[in-house]
Amino acid sequence: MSIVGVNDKQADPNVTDAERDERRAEVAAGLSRVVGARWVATDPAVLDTYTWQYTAEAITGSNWMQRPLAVAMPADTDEVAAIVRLCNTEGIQFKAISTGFGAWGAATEPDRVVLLDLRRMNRILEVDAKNMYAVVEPYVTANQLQVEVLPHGLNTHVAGCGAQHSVLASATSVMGQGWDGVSMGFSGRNLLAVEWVTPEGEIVRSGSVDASGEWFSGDGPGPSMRGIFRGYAGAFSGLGVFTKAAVKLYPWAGPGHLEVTGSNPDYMATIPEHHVAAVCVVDGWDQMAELGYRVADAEIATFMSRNAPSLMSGVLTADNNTFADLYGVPLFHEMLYALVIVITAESAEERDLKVDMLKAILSDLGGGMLANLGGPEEVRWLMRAVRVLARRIGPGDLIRSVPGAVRMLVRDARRFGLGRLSEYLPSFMYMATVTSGLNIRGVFRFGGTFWTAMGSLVSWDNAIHGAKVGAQVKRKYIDKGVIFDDGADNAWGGFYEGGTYAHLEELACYDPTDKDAADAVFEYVFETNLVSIEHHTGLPINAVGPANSALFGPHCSSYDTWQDRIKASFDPHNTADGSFYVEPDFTPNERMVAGAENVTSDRAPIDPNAPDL
Amino acid sequence: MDTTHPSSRHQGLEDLRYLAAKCVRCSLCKFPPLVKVESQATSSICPSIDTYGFHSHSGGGRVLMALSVLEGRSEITEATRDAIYQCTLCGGCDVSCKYVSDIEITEIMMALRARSFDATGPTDVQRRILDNLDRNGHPYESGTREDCLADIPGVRVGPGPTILLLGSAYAMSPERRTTLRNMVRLLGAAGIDVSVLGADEPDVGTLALALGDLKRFDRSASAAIGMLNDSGATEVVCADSEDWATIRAHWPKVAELGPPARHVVEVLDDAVRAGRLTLAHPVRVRAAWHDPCSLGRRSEPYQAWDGEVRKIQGQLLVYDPPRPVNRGSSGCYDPPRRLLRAVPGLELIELPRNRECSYCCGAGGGVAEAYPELATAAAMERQREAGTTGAELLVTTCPGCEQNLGGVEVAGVPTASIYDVLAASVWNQHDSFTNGS
Repeated sequence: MSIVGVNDKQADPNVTDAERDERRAEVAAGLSRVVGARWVATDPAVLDTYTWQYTAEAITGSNWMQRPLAVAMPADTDEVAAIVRLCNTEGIQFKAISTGFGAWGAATEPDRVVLLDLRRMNRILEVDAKNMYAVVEPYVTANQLQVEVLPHGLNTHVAGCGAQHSVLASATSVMGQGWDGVSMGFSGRNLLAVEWVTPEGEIVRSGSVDASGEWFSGDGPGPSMRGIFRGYAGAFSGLGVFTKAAVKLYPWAGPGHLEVTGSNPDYMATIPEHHVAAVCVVDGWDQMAELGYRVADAEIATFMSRNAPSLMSGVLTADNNTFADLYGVPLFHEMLYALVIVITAESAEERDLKVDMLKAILSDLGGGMLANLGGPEEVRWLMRAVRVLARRIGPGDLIRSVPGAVRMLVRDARRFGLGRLSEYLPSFMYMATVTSGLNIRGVFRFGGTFWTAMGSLVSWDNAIHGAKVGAQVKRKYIDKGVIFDDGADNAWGGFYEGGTYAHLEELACYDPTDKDAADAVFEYVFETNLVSIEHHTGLPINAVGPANSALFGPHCSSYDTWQDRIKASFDPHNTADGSFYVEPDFTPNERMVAGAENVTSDRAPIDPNAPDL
Repeated sequence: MDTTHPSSRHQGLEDLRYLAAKCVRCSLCKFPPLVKVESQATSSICPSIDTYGFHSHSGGGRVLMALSVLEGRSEITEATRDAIYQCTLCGGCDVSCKYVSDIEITEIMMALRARSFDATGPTDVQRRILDNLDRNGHPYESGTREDCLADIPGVRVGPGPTILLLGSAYAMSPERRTTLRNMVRLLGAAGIDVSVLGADEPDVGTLALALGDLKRFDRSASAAIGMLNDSGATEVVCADSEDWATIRAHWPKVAELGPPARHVVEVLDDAVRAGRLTLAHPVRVRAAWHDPCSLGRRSEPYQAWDGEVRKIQGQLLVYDPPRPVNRGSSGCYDPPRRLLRAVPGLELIELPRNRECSYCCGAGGGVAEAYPELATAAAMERQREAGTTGAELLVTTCPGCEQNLGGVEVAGVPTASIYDVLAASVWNQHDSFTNGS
């Protein structure tokens, strides 16, 4: 199975509607005593706004997960703990969410789960600029924290899903990779001290805050529970509720406020004076691997990521028709082996030094770049990039690229003005990279949604290996017409902690209302998970939940047995909804079983030594 | 039952389903486009969710309620109805969604209101508004157009080449008479010979539309358009921004208005730029401009689209022909700014949330009448924002904004109508707002 192998329980047929309503009213009354009636919702249509979820179709076959029993909005930690204790008393489950983006934010069993919408807990409690950390409540978004810390000369990690994500939820409960990983790691690596309401309602302070009242460390002085409550991938609220968390901040060699001009949807950031945004183009997977390693070793990139041409085209365009036009230009379509690199610097000298190092690396690799270098240098490196691409596509496609390229240039000149045309691509890549503010364009918009696969935190070489084999699985589904044909390559990922490790996810875009596509994407994710094991590409990004634990545990030090013990120890009554963590009562639905059988009987042929795309 | 009226081009929920189903519940509708956010304090674009909290009170949440109702998963209960109507229809969510996607959130919310209205009828408050419309020709308990006209002496009543639609919010509110008088005087000073329709002025249909009473809206709009088309007027000038948004974005669904229509600030802006109106006297004040939703993002002209959604390259959804999308940026933003910049001594300040990212004052969508707590909370939020800028005056033009923002002064920033500020500059007249000097 896969992440999509989670519970999809149906309503108990022995419970009548009247009994269910009575039960709901009882629980709502209890919740109201804690938070006040105003902050409790039980209306079916209102509850359904927590039920429709991104990726639900791959689990349930529809866009709907299961309707919760109620939604409550606590104001503080004490109210959270009181609700958790109430759930223990009542024999029901709870799940905490912030924005609640994704199927893992929903119930998987009808009328048994109380959702805690933590929107009212939205304060940035502290920005300790000297010690470079911030303390936040659950509903503080990465975007909000970023704009508040930039004036301090600091920045915060933002996950690639988009800057509207909760800083706390990403750090405590999920993975949280992003474009900035080379300098800021991923969410889990930035977690310091934490306030945690356990599944039985006890309030625990983990890390330095317990001993000193200060939040600077996740591991003491004082008790550390990080390895227990989050580990590698987080527990998706399956081990309680986190109500405060400190996260690391990082030096920001840039202005306190990013200047953004223009109007919707054509906002354009002015790239700060000493910053450079570059799309660095080389020819082939091996060269891209080398480029990543060398740039990481040179310590010149603040942001570095690999974006497939379809993803870049999506970010650059505001609608699918325009996207199709741009993506159809062979010159752009073949920008396969490229890294988006953002250099930040305190001074012109520092910027020039870093840019010179980047040029030297690209020269060695025969590459080029589209970057805001200014003047003849910008043109020279642009032409080098064009030469790389022209070699790939050949003279015929090069000529065929001209009308489309001209059309796009004319359109973009109208959008931004002729004078800013050369800034356009670097500026958009800069905005996407630094703010993570327009990522929905890149993947969700194409078919309506997307699923991800592969994407383990491994060496950069191994990540590329995963992208190669993942693309071969994806091709099978593209050929069936159930996944958007992005050339079988929509591998997105980044580098972490100086490039000591990296990840590449293989994204699959599709129409969530298309039942065939929904079924197929379940199978795609399952098949890529099998491939991850067979081709040693590591634990996939979506390898959470009970089915995955059973699948991957035996290959990874039996981590699933440890998770089971942790869950049983801290949550003896299974009160925290562990659908995406540990689910003692997991049963795959018929659709999942059928999908798994389809995959095992019709596997995509994989050539581990396949040539470049 | 779907609320699609064959005689008009309103889209029912079923028509909009293909767009609603694109919602991935990402919550971006709760914030301005993220690249435009400047601080946590100004990081929301939705007064409704700021006040009520639940996801159902966001643009995306209402899209999902629409899907729930559409798919028969839920009935429209009293709680559902509150969640539907506890929204100013300001369109902020629509702008944010369309930075990254193309879901017509406002259209879906209006279709959901129509569904709710047809299924459950009006609430008590809504019933009173509709009864007033029937009885008085405007949504208020009392007031006549004759009373209003008595307060704006010299204005010509009856047909003429340029018809000024006063609307109801200005005309029926005695507190707004000075502003209305100034507006008419400014038009006269600019050499624009306007006439008003007096007791014959038709209801534009704004509130009926907001309440989801589409049949009534169609009747009102159709009658108003017919009257204006038959009047011989060569231009229609609109005083009330809410009505302006209705005329631009929704009347075309009913019938075509013959004479061109403009908002008063556009007319005055043209006059100042052409030298026909002189802003001679200094008004020394630091003024922040509040973009009314109805003058800005909601006033983009209606764009019909008759096409189909096709899949290419397997699962890529494209429109054939391409579907025009209003993203909020073509509203009326520059004319009022140019006017204020032309006032000697006036320092114009931009609020952090401006133009298509403006934060609603809280008055629209029938909220001021039915959910005063939401109207007050939104106005306080906007006032606080103005207070952070160092502004001494918050200037706007929509009567709802003027009324609602002026009703709370948490940050010590009084509210003024742009017409009062301009009048101060033209006639050195400072009695109509407090901070001019």
